[in-house]
Amino acid sequence: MAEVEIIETPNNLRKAKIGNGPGKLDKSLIADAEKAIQAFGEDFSNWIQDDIGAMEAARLSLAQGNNSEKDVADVFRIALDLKGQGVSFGYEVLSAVGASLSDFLGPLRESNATLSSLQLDVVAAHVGAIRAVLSEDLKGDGGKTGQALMNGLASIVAKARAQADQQGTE
Amino acid sequence: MSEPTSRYALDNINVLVLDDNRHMRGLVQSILHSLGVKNIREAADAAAAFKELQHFLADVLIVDWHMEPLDGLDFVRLVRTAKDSANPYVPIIMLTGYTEYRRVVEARDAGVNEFLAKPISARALYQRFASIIDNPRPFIRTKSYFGPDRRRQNMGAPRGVPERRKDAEEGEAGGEGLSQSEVESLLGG
Repeated sequence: MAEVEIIETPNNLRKAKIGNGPGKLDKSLIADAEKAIQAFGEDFSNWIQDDIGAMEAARLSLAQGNNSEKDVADVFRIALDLKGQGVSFGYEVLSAVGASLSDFLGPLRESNATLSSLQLDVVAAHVGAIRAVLSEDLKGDGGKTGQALMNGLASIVAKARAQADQQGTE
Repeated sequence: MSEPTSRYALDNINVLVLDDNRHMRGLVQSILHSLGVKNIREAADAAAAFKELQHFLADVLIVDWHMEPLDGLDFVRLVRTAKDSANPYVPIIMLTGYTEYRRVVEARDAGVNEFLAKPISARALYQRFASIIDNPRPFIRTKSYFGPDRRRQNMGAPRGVPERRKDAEEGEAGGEGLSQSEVESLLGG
């Protein structure tokens, strides 16, 4: 057999095209779909509560000394979901908090590291920020409150990273 | 350049949505319905999706990356290479919050056709479908890869993106998220 085999596959999606050449996106369909996203997100701050509850439960379990990979994975997964969903429904700050937490936990999760006390504080600060965003209904960039929340998180994340770096070099 | 005269008709294609988050499944379904897709199935985990594909003739799969116990990449590899895969050639759109360079390369090398970063937008999802419909790619089988052709059609290596053979050397490089155009370059779109 040749080292590289090229396989021409049947184009089953020809049926999804009317006419030839590059197609034109239908702007009215896009507008309808954007409206559908908004309608779907009207109840976002309520249906996200289950996820926030699960994140808080995992955080508590970690704070109680359970060095559980599953707990870390649960917090990471929900943070990643929030990052992906917040902006869609007008909560940019929520997405930013989710991004901050998933960026922080990603490497720790991959290395199966036991979270230090300060790292647990970082998680707690993010969970607190998420609750604040939802209870205050901080949409958009959240204004000054949103900025203060993000500054606070950036500060504690930097502190935890500096501590981890220092311990890594000792 | 003249205006395109052709258009897309998504009403007669079958789409399977795999995401462990029911809200995301609902959101994607809602967008697809608005774009005209009528026949949509959903699955909450990779095993259920693989089983569904045994009797649902999906034309496109939309797959979330971060799932357990099998993640989206495991699922893509299953679809592409498992002996009992119902359709190894089905186009796959990977939907994910990951946009780092190494992640996109990983998705491409598992056999993903298109990469759609969250937060999802209606236009972006529509464009991914348009890309799959307009640019069908042959499949390539080598000792280490089976999936859609990863080379850009009639073009050199995309600017600002290392060539494929250099990927292994790049390793963890490029922790920053990529723009959608950089992602498309990597995926050969």
